[in-house]
Amino acid sequence: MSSSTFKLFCICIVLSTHFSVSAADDKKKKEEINIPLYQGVQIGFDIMSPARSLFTESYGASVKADVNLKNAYFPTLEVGYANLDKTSEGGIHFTSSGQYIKLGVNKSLSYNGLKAENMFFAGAHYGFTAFSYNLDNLTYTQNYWGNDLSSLHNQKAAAGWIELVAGVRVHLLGPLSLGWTVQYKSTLHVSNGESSIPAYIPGYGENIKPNTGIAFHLYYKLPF
Amino acid sequence: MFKQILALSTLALLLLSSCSSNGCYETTDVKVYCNFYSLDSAFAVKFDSVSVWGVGSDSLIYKDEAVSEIGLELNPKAQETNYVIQIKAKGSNNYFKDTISLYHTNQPWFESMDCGCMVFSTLNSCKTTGSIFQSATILDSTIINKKTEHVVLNF
Repeated sequence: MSSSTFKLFCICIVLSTHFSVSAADDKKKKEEINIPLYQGVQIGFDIMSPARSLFTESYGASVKADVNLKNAYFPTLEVGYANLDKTSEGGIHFTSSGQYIKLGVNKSLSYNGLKAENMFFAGAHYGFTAFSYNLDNLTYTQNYWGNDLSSLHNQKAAAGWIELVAGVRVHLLGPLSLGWTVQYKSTLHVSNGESSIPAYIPGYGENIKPNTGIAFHLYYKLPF
Repeated sequence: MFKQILALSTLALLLLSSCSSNGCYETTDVKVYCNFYSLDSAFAVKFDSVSVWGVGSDSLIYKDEAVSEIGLELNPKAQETNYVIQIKAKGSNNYFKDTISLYHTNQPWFESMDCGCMVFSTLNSCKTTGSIFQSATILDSTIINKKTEHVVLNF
């Protein structure tokens, strides 16, 4: 991901704020209506990670649930699985698999619909994963005594990160809606493997600080 | 309005998202740095013409160079590495040779996809034949990709 993704993230925040201001009158009207605390649960299915498996050898899946509280706050829990298979230009082969969990809350910045079926939102999430990885076809950097191939297997690591998100969700039909989220991520703690630094972290992506990401979700609103 | 925004922003996201390599900003030089000192370590010594090569190898690391410090790579496939240090006496054609033996344990270390893999070592002991250098003392036994004074060779 490039810095342009981050710029888009900022634009999204600004746009959302703009819509919030322009919808100020609507909000005033809405405030007059007493909105119940519980407004339903939406289940989101990640459609980008499985699609990525069509083009790369990496694959994954995640599902998340968020609870609509007063159309304003959306506590979110996401669990996922990622299987990474990457080969560098130098031929280093990295494979990793692991589960991850993300907890956080989103705040609607602007919405319409009785239960915020369409909305802009921003939020903050904490992600955590414990995983193992293998490194193959490792060549030592140029050495006077010659190079050698090596492998590092069953390296165990853990990582936690903070994720600032902004996105949009739009009602499609019936209980279905669609949305994307841009993510601005930064690791808070990474415990390295015994002989290596993990190159990729499930749920986080490439182990760089900061990192950015995009997620597309198809949402299903539970009927209660 | 939301639907148009979703469609436009999705298109923009897909166009803007791209992958890029971050490159390697870490030094990947892993060497034992040996500094030349006088016998009592009172002052550093710089020799005018130093040549260094590994025992069992023909290629020179230093060839008639004026240095007060040499950086030696350890053999990642062995626990002992030997180098010949040859010094030309000033104002004559006489050469003096010494062999430094470095005993170490190795540990591969993967830094990143861009930087690749290095071999870090722990220096357990070292010695010279005594022809030039009277003693060899380990100051720092951790050999990683950081430059520091590891061994003092007393002349």
